[in-house]
Amino acid sequence: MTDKKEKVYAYVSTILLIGSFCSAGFLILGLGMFFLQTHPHNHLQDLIRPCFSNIFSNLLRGKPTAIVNLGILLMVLTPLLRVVVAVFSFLAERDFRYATIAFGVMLILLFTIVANLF
Amino acid sequence: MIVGGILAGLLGSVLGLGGGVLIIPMLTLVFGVPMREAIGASLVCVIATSSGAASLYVKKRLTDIRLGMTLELATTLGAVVGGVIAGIMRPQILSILFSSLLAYTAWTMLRRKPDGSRGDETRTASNFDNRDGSYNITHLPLGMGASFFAGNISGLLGVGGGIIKVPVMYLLMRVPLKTAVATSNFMIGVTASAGAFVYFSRGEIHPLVAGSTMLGVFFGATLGSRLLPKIKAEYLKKAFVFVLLYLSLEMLFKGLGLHLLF
Repeated sequence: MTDKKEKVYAYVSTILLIGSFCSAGFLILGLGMFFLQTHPHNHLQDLIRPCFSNIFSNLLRGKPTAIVNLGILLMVLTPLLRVVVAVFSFLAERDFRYATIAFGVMLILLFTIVANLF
Repeated sequence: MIVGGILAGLLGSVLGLGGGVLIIPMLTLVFGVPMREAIGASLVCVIATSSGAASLYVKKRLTDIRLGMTLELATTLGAVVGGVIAGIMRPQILSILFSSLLAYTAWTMLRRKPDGSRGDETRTASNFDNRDGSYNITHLPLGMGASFFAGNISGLLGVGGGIIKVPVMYLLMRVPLKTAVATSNFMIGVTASAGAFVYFSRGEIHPLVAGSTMLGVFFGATLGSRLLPKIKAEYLKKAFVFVLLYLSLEMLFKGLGLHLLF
C-alpha cells in the first residue's frame, strides 16, 4: 500500500518537472529564433495567438512564435496531465472516492479546454 | 521582460508570494501591456512557478494531494467563472480590484510573524495523510466555498490565490501550515490552468509577452528556491510591504486615471 503511494508521489513530481523543463526548452528555442530571425519591432502586429487549430500548421512552417506557443501550451497543459495521473494512481490504489474527485477536476479542465480552444 | 520575469520570480519565491502579485504591475506599469494580457501572461507564469515549486513539495511529501484535489473542484470552477467575468469587466475596474488585492497582500505580510515562531514543526511530513487521522479537516463545505472564491480571484486577476487559500486551510480547516502552503501551491497550477484557457480563447495570451516573462520567472523561481535557505528574508519582507503599497497606489491611479479619460 505504502509502496503504491510512494509511486503516486514520484510520478506526479516527475511529470511536473518534465513538463516545465520541456516547456522552458521550447520557450528558449522559440524566443531565440524569433529575436534572431526578425527585428524585434517588425512583426509584432501579425503574431500568432496560441490556439490548437493553428499551432501545428505554423509549427510545420517553422514559425518561431508557434514554438513559443507550443511551450506555453505545454506549460498550461502540465496541470491537466498531473490530474490525469492522479486519477489513474487513485484507481490503482483502489481509492475510488478520490479517483472520482480527481476525475471531476479532470472533467472541469477538459470541458474548459474544449469550450475555449476549439 | 525576461529580466523582469527573473526578478519577479526571484523576489516572489524568496518572499513567499506568488509571482502574479509582482508580474502584473511590472507588465502594465513598466511595459505598458494591457491589463487583460498582463493577467493572461501572469496566469501562465503562475503555472510555471507552481509546477516548479510543487514538484519539490510533492517529492518531500508535504502536499496533501487528496485534500488538494477535493478543493480543486471548487477552485477550478471559480477560476473559469472569474476568467469569464474578467472578459466582461472594464480593464480599469480590474486594475482597481488588483490594487486592493495588493493592499491586502501588504497587510497580511505586515501581520505575518517571523518564520521561527510558527511552531508547526511537531507534525512531520511522514504522517501527513488525512485518512490515517493524523490531522482532521474541519469545515470542509466552508473551505470549499472559500476555495471557489480563491479560484475566482485567480481567474479574475491572474494571481495564484495562495494568499486566500493558505489562511483558509490553516485557520479554518485546521491543516498544518506547511501542508497548507504546499497543498495550496499544488492547487494553484491546476486553478491557473483552468483560468488560462479562458484567456487563450479570447486571444489574450500574447506569445512574446507571456513567453519571455514565463521563461524569466521559471529561472528566477528556481534560483530563488536555491537561495532561500541561505538568506534572511525577514527584513526584505518588511521593506517589501512598502513596495507593495506603492504598487497598489500606482494601480489604483492607473485604474482611475484611465477611467477619467474614457
